Amino acid sequence: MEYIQLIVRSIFIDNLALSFFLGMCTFLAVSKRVSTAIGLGIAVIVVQTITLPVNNLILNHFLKENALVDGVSLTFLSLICFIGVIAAMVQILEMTLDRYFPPLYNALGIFLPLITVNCAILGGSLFMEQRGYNLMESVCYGFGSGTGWALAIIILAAVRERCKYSHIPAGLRGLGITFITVGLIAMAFMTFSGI
Amino acid sequence: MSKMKDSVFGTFLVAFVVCAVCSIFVASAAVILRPIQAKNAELFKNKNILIACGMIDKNDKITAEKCEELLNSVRILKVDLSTQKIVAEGAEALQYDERTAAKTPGESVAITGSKFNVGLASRGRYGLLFVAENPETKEKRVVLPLVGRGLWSVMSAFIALDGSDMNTVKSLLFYDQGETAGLGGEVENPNWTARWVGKKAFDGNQPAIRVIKGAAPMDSEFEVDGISGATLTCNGVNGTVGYWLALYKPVLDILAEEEKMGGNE
Amino acid sequence: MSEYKEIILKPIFRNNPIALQVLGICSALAVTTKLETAITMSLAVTVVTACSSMVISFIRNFIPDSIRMIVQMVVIASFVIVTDQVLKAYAFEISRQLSVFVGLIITNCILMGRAEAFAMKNPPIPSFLDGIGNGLGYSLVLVILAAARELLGSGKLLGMTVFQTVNDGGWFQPWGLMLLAPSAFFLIGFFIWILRTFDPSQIEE
Repeated sequence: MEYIQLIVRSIFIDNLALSFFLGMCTFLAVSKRVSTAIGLGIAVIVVQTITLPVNNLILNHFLKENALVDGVSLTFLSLICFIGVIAAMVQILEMTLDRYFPPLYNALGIFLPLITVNCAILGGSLFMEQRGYNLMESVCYGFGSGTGWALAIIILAAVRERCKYSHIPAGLRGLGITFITVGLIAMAFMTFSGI
Repeated sequence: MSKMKDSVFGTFLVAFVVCAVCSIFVASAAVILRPIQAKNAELFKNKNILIACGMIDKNDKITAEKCEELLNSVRILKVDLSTQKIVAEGAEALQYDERTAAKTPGESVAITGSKFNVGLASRGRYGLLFVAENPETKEKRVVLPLVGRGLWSVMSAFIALDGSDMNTVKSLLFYDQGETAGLGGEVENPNWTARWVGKKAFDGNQPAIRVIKGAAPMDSEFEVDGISGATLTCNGVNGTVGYWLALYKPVLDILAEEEKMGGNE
Repeated sequence: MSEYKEIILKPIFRNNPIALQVLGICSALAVTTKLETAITMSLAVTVVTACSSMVISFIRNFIPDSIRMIVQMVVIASFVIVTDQVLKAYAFEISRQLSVFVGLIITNCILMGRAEAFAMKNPPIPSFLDGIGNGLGYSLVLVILAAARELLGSGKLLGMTVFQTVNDGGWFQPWGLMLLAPSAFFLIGFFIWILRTFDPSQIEE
């Protein structure tokens, strides 16, 4: 029950893109078409669900106070470890997909490198550290927050596809209207917080 | 040089040197700054205790020394919550961290059979208790730490009871929570927690204070106005407050007994 | 000298990294509910950008191409960690509010962008100034947003009351939406609109 709550919360209320502004660069750049948005979204879910538990294990077994050497806390290294893990996981995932699931690799391959620099992934790990999730909770949080991000980018891409055919004031074209659209989506998501 | 830098040896050398320099830089910063950070975290914790004890105001800027001095006048008890025995007092008791203990096997007790739903699986074997007397107003307070699940997050708080009757609520302070900002997050709002002040915590031996949906009747002894749109968070608050009050009740009774004896002398 | 001035001023007004290139807004928006946190964040980003650009520029002739990115990343990450530690030590309250967003400076595109585009090709001092310029350009947007959100959302600036709110017996009904996430998107959208109205060359097709 607790876990379901965590997933629902991380998809709708603590949405990484819409309420914490994470992964904005990719969010704005890759949301021009629904098909690419879906590809990137799925890639984010997969990477997030894998990296969070891995980072959680590293944090608890190597970095926490007294974990490696008694009386030594290495938590100040968590940031750089997380980045390393994310880059490595993305690389491994890419190779595994290429080797065993070529069709999936062809569909997702180009998005994987983009994810390494996506701050939604790093942000997820940092939130996991800050909120002290355990292993199971971090699996749920990883899945939920990834799904939330994917949902947001797919909605945005769908809206932007429609926007192409509308008359928009010159200065708002492109980025301006995208931001305002994201704002409206974020407002819609806010209504979930009343649940 | 340019040939050298792209050779295998050059690459390894550069990588090694960069890593070494950066790690020394980062590690020394972390080591030098750690004592200051630890002091800050302690000050934050102590300040919340003092606010709950009514010794300082929420907006007071206070130095670490002053904080420690005030804290010395507070009686800090570490109590075994099953046997009601005091196991430590003062600075030693303050070292105890209930949240860590609750997750440590051997130090924790499973939570079962309470009629209040605190939303946690286990608690620490011991609990802290603060007894304070404001030097100016001579007002006595007993402060209990609370921790429990709201809608989304584990919330931490202090509740202060009047030291003379161990029943009237003097203050409630949520200092750590992750509820929905603007709805459940309002538990932190001083305007809301102020409504708890003056209510009675216990009806006989049972915790009776609770948040109800909507506005509480004016003359209600035990009921507090709900936060609109945050019913589930309020349920969490009820479970949390009720659970800990019930758990601490025997300890409070012992303290009240001591108080009476002290008064007779 | 005027050349240096140009390096600093250009990214602030004519080539603002957030408004025009949409770089680094990830960490920018979440800290803009209060002016105080926004200013701290701006300072942190400016310092990290300037220092890491300078260091990368110092060693630019020694960095092998094959590990270029990772070396830049390590340098940037070190500065971010140190900044985070310093904030935790000397500005505890603010660092609590900034929470994970200081750490997220690492993934801020401005840093990698400047390291790659400027610091790898230029000597240390111009790189340092370029870092400061870009940091300030980022700060400008952040501070404007934060000032608008804090003022309209809670009637305060830097924690000091500017408009007396109704709850405190004044006249100002706080515009609560301003403190929530969507308002940041709206404000930045309008900000871009205004900027592009004055500088039509930036309009996208």
